[in-house]
Amino acid sequence: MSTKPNPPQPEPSLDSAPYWESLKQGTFAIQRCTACHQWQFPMLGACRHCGGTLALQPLSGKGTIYSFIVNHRAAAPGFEDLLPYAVALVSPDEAPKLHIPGRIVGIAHEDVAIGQRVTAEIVDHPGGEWKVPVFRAGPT
Amino acid sequence: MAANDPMVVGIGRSPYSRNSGRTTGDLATEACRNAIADAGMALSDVDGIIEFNVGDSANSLNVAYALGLPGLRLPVDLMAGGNVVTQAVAMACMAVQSGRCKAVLVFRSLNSRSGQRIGTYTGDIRVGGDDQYGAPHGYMAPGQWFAMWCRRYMHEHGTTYEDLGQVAITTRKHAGPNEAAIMREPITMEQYLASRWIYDPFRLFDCALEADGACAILVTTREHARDLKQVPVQMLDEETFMGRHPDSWEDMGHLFSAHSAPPLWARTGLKPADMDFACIYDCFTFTTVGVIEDYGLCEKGGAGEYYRSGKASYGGECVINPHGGLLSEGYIHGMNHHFEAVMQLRQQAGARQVPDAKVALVTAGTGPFGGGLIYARA
Ligand SMILES: [Zn+2]
Repeated sequence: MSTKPNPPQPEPSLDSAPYWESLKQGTFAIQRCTACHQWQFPMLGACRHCGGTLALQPLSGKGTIYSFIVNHRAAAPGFEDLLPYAVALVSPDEAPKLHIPGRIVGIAHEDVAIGQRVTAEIVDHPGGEWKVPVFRAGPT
Repeated sequence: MAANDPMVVGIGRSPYSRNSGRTTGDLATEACRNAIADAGMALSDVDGIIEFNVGDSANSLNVAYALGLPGLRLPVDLMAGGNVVTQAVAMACMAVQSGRCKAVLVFRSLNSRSGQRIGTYTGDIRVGGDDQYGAPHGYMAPGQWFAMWCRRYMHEHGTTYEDLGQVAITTRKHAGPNEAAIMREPITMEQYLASRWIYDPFRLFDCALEADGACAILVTTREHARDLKQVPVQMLDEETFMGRHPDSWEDMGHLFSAHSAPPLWARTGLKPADMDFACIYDCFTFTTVGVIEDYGLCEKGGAGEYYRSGKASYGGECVINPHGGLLSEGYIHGMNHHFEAVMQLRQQAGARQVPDAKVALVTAGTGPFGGGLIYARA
């Protein structure tokens, strides 16, 4: 049995539980309003633009790096082996004003840049039954 | 000029250190007692206390009790960080202006180095709320959110690592003559660039100096200030602008200050050039850069040059953080900026006195949430 600490686990709310369940089923989906069709992230109980009903809708997974950092220090346990590594805020193609956080994979942290194209991948999250999206560099 | 104009009449603090060995309640009580004594006010005249807390602090009612007060007419405990400091002071001012209270203390107390370190987590944790999405990637600390902002800001406005370094170096230089500052040794650009990465673009010297301590100010009206010991300092006006979680802000090239600065200048009729000095909330070097550019002390993208050319220091245009700020005096969560502003405006700052300081800008917060106010010697 591993003695390594686990990385933080998500604690879903009633609003966000469907998002996490969807990832478990292998689908990266965020909320979209059934009335005004605006995308929404993070998860809420109703559309912030019109108060309408929200439904999960899959994203293509393609997006652009809006900003990124390189963690040289682990803010929480469970990431010591990865250091240094890049985390980005990604603007999905479908909703460029939203920012979704995730690790950048498939590229050296020195080569990560704002504006870079990325594609979401769903990976197992250590320490529990959750899956999380990470972002792989490319295709351009 | 009105009898109910809000005035800061007392300032108090505990020693600042890296390991207080005391409770936050004890530190808070000392700072508040010192502020009341500094004003020369009767303890029984204090009828309001406002404090803010992320992690540790001390409850307003517990501090009132420890001060020997039977109770309060206005106890306020804000669950918030350094973004609310100017708002908290403005609330105290409104309370005395309206006549609801006679005198209101505003304080912050924390053991941010030896106790609960903000943004540092240990053990197996579950994270809900706004951070449930980033936490599984090890992204959940304020230093990371604002490093994210900083990177975007650098991309849009051409700010460089060396620009951030200029802020760290000048701020440390200012802390030199300040006996209360925790870090007083000067640093060079070479030392800055060699300091270890925390969350790139932030190095160690870009980050506030975690500290233990408490700081308080006491607010009353012009009328009541007449009988007290110190030259009163007037709070002219305040403007706050708050958005939600830092990741949700659409445009990281402009901070809260892009929204809070214009109304403050418009209402007071003052302009950046009127400021003799400024106490800018500097949880990170980047915050100072973004905030002074938004408040118009220099142009967008110009903060590095403003510092490099000496305009942010003595003999320049506007001395920024004469006490050494959160970066070098210590992370008393921005309450220490108010202590310093009042000292300077009373001409009590000794070796670091800004000559004939009359008017000052004080800010709070970074990223999507914060505010600013203007103090003037009454
Ligand atoms: Zn809608």
